[in-house]
Amino acid sequence: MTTLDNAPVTGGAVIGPSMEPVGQRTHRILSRVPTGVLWLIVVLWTVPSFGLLVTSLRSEADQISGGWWQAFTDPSFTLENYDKALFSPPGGTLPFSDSFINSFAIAIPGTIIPIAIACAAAYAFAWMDFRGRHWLFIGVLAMMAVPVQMSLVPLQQLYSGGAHLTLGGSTFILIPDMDLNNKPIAVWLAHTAFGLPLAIYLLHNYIAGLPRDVFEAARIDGANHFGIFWRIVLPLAKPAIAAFAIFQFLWVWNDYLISLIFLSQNRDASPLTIQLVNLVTSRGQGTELLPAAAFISMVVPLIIFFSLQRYFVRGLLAGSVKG
Amino acid sequence: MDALISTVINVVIALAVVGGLFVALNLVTDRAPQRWDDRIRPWLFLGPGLLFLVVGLVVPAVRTIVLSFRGGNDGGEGFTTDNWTGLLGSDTVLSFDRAGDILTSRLLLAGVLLVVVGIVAAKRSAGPGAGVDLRNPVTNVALGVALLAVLMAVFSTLRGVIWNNLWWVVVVAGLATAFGLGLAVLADRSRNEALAKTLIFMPMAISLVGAAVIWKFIYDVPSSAQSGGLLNIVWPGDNIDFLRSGSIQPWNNFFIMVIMIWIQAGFAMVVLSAAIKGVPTELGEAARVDGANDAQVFWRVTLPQITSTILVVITTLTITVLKVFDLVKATTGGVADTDVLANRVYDTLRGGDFTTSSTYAVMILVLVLPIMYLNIRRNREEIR
Repeated sequence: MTTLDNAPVTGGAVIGPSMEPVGQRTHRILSRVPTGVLWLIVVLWTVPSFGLLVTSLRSEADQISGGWWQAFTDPSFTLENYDKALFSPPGGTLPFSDSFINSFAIAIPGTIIPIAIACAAAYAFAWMDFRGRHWLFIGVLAMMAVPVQMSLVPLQQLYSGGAHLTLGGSTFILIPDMDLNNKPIAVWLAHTAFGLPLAIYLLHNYIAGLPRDVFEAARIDGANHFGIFWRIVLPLAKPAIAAFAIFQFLWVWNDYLISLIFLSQNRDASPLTIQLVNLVTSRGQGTELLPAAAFISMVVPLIIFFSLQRYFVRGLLAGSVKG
Repeated sequence: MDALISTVINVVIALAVVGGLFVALNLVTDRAPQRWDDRIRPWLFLGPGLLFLVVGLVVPAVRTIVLSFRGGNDGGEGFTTDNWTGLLGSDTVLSFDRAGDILTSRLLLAGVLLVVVGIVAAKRSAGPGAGVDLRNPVTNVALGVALLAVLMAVFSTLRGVIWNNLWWVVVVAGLATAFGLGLAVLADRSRNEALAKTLIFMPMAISLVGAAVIWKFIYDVPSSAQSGGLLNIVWPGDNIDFLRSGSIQPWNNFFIMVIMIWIQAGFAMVVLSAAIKGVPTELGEAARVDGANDAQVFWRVTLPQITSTILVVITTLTITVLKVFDLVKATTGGVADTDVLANRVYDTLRGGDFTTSSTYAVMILVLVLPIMYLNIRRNREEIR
């Protein structure tokens, strides 16, 4: 502060060789304002997560006696909350070690199946000629914006009762009753359908941009369509596949609604998000475990985010800027 | 142990599905005679995808629309428009009771004042006797904030889940985009740009449910089990439950929206930052040679170049926000005047009232339709 207070006096009277003009100095200070504002916002943005991380490492007694900022004056940390949340949470909550694995049971199939199916469809849209291609693709585009809420009631009925068609007094079974409700497969089948429009769209954009020569060279060498798809399209489309895979995996891992609809009656198969909300709403019991439980649910997304951020951003840009 | 076994089974099923799909494609494309092959091959590659889309999205969507026009909880009672007239006439869905209060709202007054400021600035910017110049920074910002203020005045006065959903769209899409643009500009050319962007972008990776827990520890009221959130510590007045308190309703909605802005500003920043870096540097340099300063280069060269990207960000956010569910469920569960359409869809479905649930779902679809139309129109030019 003193330098600022002195500036008008000394700067105005004598401008020595070591003294810069007032105008320049103000400009130098002002030019740092944007960076200062940026980092102020960065700090504001990070404080909530940081506070929760610190809280998760404090004992129950410490959490009740004061906020996480007291850890700076009186540092004492423990992993007790993580231990309890993972292996012995209070009252009806499934141990988070189990729901952690359950989340993989949903997220792995919910990622690889839509990608495989979308790759095949995207290749057809991009490099095969057939009637109705244009309108079918517009249909796929339209479905990208259809809210998942439009599918919830019918899918639940389909899972528990199958699909029937009644024509002229006789009933045909189109899809038998498979009793899928409250099984992980119900969730990842739904995620497959919901993820497909974006997957087909992103992969189509990428595959359609591959050079034509590559395909012609392969055809001259005698490769059939599947050979081209398997040996040329899939390897070349790897960046796009990786970008979408990260996107879809995080989406399925972080999903709450779909699991809540199709799986919440089956406690033992429920993923992290459901158990986390159960802990939030079970008033009083296990509140001290909540920060630790939240971080257990975030650790996989955070690892993916920090290690594969480049692909994540690429997928995001392909999905919104180009589209 | 059960969880592990179940995971292995699910992953094996998934791998079998994918492997089976590729083997089947290979066999058929290998063996089929050429002429037959050319016709049927596209449909083999498209088949599995179309099957999932039709069974999982198209047929359910049609069925949901049909259910919204049928009576009884499970749609067994024939055609009726009662679901629609009943819900749209309900005060909890679409109330106009307090429409008169909008006129006396302070936000509306602020909006009108800002419009005046904007017009004055437009006059002055154009110079004497030259009409108005709408493309100057002051006018742009003033009119933008005025629009936001007027819409906030409308949606915080009119109550009901549909108004609430629209309020969400305006606040989150508007502010997240504005924040994202500001951050993209601030971060551009600054030192440690990548680190700053990563930290702001990080909330995008975590679940909405996790975000709700993070912010619970900001908003919490001190109790015997918890020591109160950060915001209550720095808040000058009495302790407030920022999510439920009757004294701040309906502005408790705003505190839930803040969580969504916290998440989505990073998305807007990353997309807009890429767009700004994509603007040819020659354009800015040419303007500088002509004597433009940094601000003028931004408002008159960069901004017009990224307008289409800004629109993409706004439409993407609008679709996301219209479906908002997790945040509301995990914070208030829809009580204290915070309910939204997607939460009604879930609550009525859980309660076994499938026709009402479907009607709420179609309401979300109707709100999404304009965005869907814009998206398709934009993309059709690319496909051709």
